[in-house]
Amino acid sequence: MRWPWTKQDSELDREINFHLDQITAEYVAAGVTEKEARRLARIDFGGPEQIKDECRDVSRWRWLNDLGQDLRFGWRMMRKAPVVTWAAALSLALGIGANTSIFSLMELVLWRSLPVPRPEELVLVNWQARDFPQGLAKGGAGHMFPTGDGDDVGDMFSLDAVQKFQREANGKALLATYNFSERVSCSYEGRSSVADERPVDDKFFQVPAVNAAAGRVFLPAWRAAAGDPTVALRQE
Amino acid sequence: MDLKRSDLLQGTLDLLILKTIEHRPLHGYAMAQRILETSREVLAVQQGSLYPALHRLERKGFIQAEWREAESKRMAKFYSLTPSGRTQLAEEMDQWQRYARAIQWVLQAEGAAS
Repeated sequence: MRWPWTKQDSELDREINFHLDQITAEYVAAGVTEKEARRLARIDFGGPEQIKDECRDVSRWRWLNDLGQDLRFGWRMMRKAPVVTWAAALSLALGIGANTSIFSLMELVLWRSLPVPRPEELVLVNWQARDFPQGLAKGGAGHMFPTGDGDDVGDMFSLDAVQKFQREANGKALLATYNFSERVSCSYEGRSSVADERPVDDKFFQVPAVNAAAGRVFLPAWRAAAGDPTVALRQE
Repeated sequence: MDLKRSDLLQGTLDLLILKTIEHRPLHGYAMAQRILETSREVLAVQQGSLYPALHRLERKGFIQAEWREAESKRMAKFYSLTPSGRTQLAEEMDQWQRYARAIQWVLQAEGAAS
């Protein structure tokens, strides 16, 4: 079997075999038997296997030798020009630092998936329209921004629209809605603080299929008991 | 007198190889033959020891190798000098001649004293 990395070895074999055959032929021409000639050739040559090892060592360890020389040379040069060395080290440090922070930010914002069972199935529904879509969005609360080419994009939907979506989805998809968040003040065990409060519907935690770390999230049956709001707290 | 491999002064083999292929490419066997011939059978280089030296010289860029058909119609690896090998040969020959001349002066001075 021939591999690229055995090429050098087989070339060495061929080269040395050629030489051995030449000495052997010399002895045979002088009247020695083939077998004896071969033996004498090996003695004259001086241990073919050992020679091959020496040849391999030449190529095998040279890089280490070279590397050592290069490192020592590099070190001497750096000692000779400390300003250049520090400038190079500093620019490397800044470059690496900047790259690392940019990539961590991008990872956080763009690439990391939500820590839920099937993040790829989650979608945020928006609408895009030339004029405000009365039937679809009137009465909903959310954000709206222009796309730049005359359209608007919004994430608010009317109650009618949401109920229609739920009927049409017909169990094949889960739909949850949420409202604006607002700052509220709250107090617990005598300590008061400010919190963000966001009204959500009863399917809000079912959609991403997450549960509370402690206690429980909303139960659908509780919906009937309107006017008795339930709160899920998030730990910061 | 029969100089064995260890009897060759350190670094001499490289010089002998470079000189032997100064004018035409040779394979290892022919080099050993030629060194023996031109040294009037005094320098019998251990033939195998040529190869580590050849590989080292090739690595250093002093010689280059090429597979060619030898007289026996078989393919053999022929070595020839590179331009930097030619420079190296000139330098080493110069060094060696100065060294040999200096040794000779010392020996002659000793001879004159006795």
